Amino acid sequence: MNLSENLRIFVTRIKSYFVSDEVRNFVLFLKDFFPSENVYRLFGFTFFNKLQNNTNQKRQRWQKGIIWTVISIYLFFTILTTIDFAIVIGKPGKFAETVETFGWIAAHGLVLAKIFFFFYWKRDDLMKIVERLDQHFPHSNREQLQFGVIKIYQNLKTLFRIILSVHAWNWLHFVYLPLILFLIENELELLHPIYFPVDPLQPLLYPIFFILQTIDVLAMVFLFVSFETFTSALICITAMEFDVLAQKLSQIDPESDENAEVKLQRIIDAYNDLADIASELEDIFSPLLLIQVFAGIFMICVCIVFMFLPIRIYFMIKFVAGIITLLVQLFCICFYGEQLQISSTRVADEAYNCNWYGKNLKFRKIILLTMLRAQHAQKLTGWKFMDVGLPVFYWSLQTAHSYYSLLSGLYET
Amino acid sequence: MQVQQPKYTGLVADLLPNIRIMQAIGHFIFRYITGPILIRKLYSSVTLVLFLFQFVCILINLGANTDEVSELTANTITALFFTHCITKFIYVALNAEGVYRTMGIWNQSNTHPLFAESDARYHSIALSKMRRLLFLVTLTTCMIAVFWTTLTFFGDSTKLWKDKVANETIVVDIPRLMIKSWYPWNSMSGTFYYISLAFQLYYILFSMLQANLSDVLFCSWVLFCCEQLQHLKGIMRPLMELSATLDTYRPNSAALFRSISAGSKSELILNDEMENEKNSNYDMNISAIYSTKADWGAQYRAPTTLQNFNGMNGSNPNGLTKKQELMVRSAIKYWVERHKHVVRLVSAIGDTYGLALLLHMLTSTIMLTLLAYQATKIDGITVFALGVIGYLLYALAQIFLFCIFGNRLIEESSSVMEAAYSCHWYDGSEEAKTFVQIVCQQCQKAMTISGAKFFTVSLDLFASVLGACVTYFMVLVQLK
Repeated sequence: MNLSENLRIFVTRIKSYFVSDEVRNFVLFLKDFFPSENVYRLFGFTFFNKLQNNTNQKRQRWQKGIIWTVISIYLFFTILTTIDFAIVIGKPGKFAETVETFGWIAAHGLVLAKIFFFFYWKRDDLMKIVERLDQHFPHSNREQLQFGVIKIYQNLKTLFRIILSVHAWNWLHFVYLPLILFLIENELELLHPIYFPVDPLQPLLYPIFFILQTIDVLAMVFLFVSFETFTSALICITAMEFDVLAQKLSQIDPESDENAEVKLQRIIDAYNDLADIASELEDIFSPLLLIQVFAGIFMICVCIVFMFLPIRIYFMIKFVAGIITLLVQLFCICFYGEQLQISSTRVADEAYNCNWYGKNLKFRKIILLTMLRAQHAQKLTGWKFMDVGLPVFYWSLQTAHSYYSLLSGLYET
Repeated sequence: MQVQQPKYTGLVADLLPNIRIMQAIGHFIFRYITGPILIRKLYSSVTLVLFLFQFVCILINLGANTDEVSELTANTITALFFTHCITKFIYVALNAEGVYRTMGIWNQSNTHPLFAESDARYHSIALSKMRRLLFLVTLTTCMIAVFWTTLTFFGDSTKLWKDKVANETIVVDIPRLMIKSWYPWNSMSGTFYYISLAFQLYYILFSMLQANLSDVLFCSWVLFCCEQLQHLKGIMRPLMELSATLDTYRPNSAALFRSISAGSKSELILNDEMENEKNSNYDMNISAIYSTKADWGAQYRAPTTLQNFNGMNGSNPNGLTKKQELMVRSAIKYWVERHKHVVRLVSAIGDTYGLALLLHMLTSTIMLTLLAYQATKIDGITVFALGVIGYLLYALAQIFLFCIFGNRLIEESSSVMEAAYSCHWYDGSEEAKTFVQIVCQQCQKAMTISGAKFFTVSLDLFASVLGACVTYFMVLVQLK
C-alpha cells in the first residue's frame, strides 16, 4: 500500500470511529483511532509491528527507507543548528540568533530523544504495558455507561483534536512566514537559522533547504502530536481504570450480597495489577518526562525572549503560536499525571463509601487494608526529581519566566 | 384561596434569610420562591444591565485617563474592585444550578433516636452562627457604603490631567461623586448630578452586598459542615460505649438506652460518671478517666481479651434485646452515613464555589499590588490616605473571611481522627475497634476546599497574600 492509500484508510477509520458507539479492545483502539500508529507508519516507524505480523518484504524495506530518511534529516539539521549555536554564542549583536538556535536545539533534541526512546529503547516494555492494560480494558456495555468510560473516550477524542489543531497551526506559521517575507519584503529567510559552508540563501540552494526544513518541522510536529496523544492516552486510561475500580468498590454491599468478599478480592487483585502497571509506566517514562519538562521550559523561555525583542510583527506570531503549543504539550502531561494521582487515591475514598459497617468483621479488615494501600498515590515522576502534576506545570512556567529575566538581564549588558 | 407557604427543609431552611436577601438585591436565584418568576427574572436582568453600564463607564473613564500614572493606578484599582462584584454576580448567575445542587444535598439527613439531641444542639449552634455572620457582613457593607459616601464630601474633587501640549500636569475639576466615572450626560451640577449621585450610591451598595453575600453563602455552608463534624466528634464516645455492650459485659448498659431529657446539655454518659462531668468536653477532665467503677475492680467486668460468648446461644452478655442490638448497630451506621453525607457536601461546595474563589484571588492579587504602590504615596491623613487604607482593609477582610472558614474546616476534619482515637476504644467491641481503625484511616486526609485545584483555602493562603503585599510595599518604599 502506498502513502495515499494509507491516508485514505486512516481517514475512513477515524470517521467510522466517530460514528459508532462501540468501544473496542484497547490495542485495536490505539491502532485504529489514534494517529500515532498510522502516522508512525507514514514516517516509517511502526509500533505495533508484532501485532501486525507484517511480513511484506517490500513494505518493510519501504518503511526502513523512510525511517532512515527522516532520522537523517533530523540529525542533519540538529548538527547544523548546533554548529550555528557554537559559532554565534557570545558574539555581540547576535543575541537573537543565539537564543533561537538554542530553542531549536532543544526542540530537535527532544524529538530525537523521543524517537530513540519510543522506537528503540523502550519499545518492548511499552508493548508489554499495552498488553497488560488490554486485559483490564474490556468492559461490558452496562459498565461502560455506568462508570463513564465512554465519556473518557470522548475526552480523549477532544484532546486529540485540540493537540492536532494547535500543532498544525504552529507548523503553518513556520511555513508561511518566510513566504510572506519573500513576497512583501523580497528577503529570503529560512525557517530556522542553520550553519552551512555554502550560503543556503542562494537562489539555487534556497528551495532545497526550504523544503527540507519544511519536512523537518512537519515530521517534528506530527511526531510531537503522536507522542503526546499516545503518552496522554496511556496515562489517562490507567487513571480511568483506577476510577472504574473505585466505583465498583463503592457499590459492594456485604449485607445484601453473599459474593461481596469474592468481588472485593477481585477488585484488590485488579488494583494490585494496575498499581504494578502504573509503576512500570513510571519506570518507562520518567527520564523522558524530565527531558520533556526541561526542554519545554527552555523553549518557552526562548519564545518569551523573542516576544519582547524588537523584531518584525509577523515573526511575533510565530512565537506566540510556539508558546501556546508548548503550554498545551506541558499541560497535557501534567494534567494526566495529576489525574493518575487523583484516581488512585479515589479508590481509598470510595472504599470508605461502601457498606462496611455491618456485622462482618473480616470484611472490615480487608477494607481497612485496601484503604491503607490505596491512600499512597501512584505518581509519575520526572526521574524522581519531581512528581508530574499541575504544581510542576506552574513551577515550569515560573522557572521559564525567571530564566527569561536572567537572559534579558544579560541582553542589557 | 391562600397559597400555602412551602415548607423548606434542611440547608435551604437554614439559609433562607441569606437567599431572600440575595434575591432581593438582584442575584439570579429563582428557586425557593412562590409567585411569578418572570418579574424576578426581569428585575435581575435590569440590575445586570445597570451594573454592566456603570462598569463600562468606569472602564471608559480608565481608558480616557491613561496618561497620568497616579490617575491610571487609582482608576485601575476602582475597576478591579468592581470586577469582583461583577464576576461574583455573573458567576452565581451561570452557576445557579450548582448552588441548588449543593443546597439540595442536605435536604434530608438521617436521624437516630439516641443522638437526636446532640444533632439538634449542634444544628442550632450552626444556625445562630450563620445568622450572626449574615447580620455582621450586611451591617458592615452598609456602613462601608455610608462611609464611602461621606468621604466623598471631604477634600477636593479634582483629578490630575497631563497636558500634552505644555507637557505638564494640571489639576482639573471633576464632579463630586464616589467613583470617578464617565457618563453620557454632564454630571457636574444640577439634576444630573443628583441622579448620578443616587445611581452611584445604589451601585456601590448593591454591588458590594452582592459580592459579600455570595461569600457569606459559601462561608455558611462551610460553617454548617464544621458543626456537623463537631456533632460527629461529640457522639463518638457514647457510640463506643454503646458498641461495647455488644460483646463486653457492661454493668450499666441499661443506662445507655435511656432517652435523654431534652433540656440536658450533656452527652450520653454513664450513670456513675454524671456527677463528675461538668461539661460535655470530658476528654479534658483527667479525673474522669479513672472514675468508672469498671476500671477499678475486676469484679464487675470480665476481661475483654478472654471473653468468648460463642457458647452462650448467641445471646448478648448484657442481655440486650434484639431491638436494642439493632439500635446499637444502627448507631454506627448513622455515624458513618452522616460522615459520608458531610464529605459529599464538602466536595459539592468545592465544585460549586472553587472557581469563584480562584477568580477572586486573581483579581485581589493584582489589586493588592497596585494598592501597595499607592500606599507608598501616602504622606498624611488625607482623603487619599483614608481611601487607600479603606480599599486595603476591605480587600484583605474579604480574603480573610473565606480563609478562616476554610481553615476551620481543615482543622475540624483532621481532628475527627484524634477524637476517634481519644474515645475509649479499648473498652469497645471488636466491631468498635475496626470502626475506629477505618475512621482514623479515612480521616487522616483533611477535607479541604480548593480554588479549582490551584490552591487550598486556608489561613496559609491569607498569610502568603499578606506577606506578598508587605514585601511589595517594602520594596517600593525602598525604590522611592
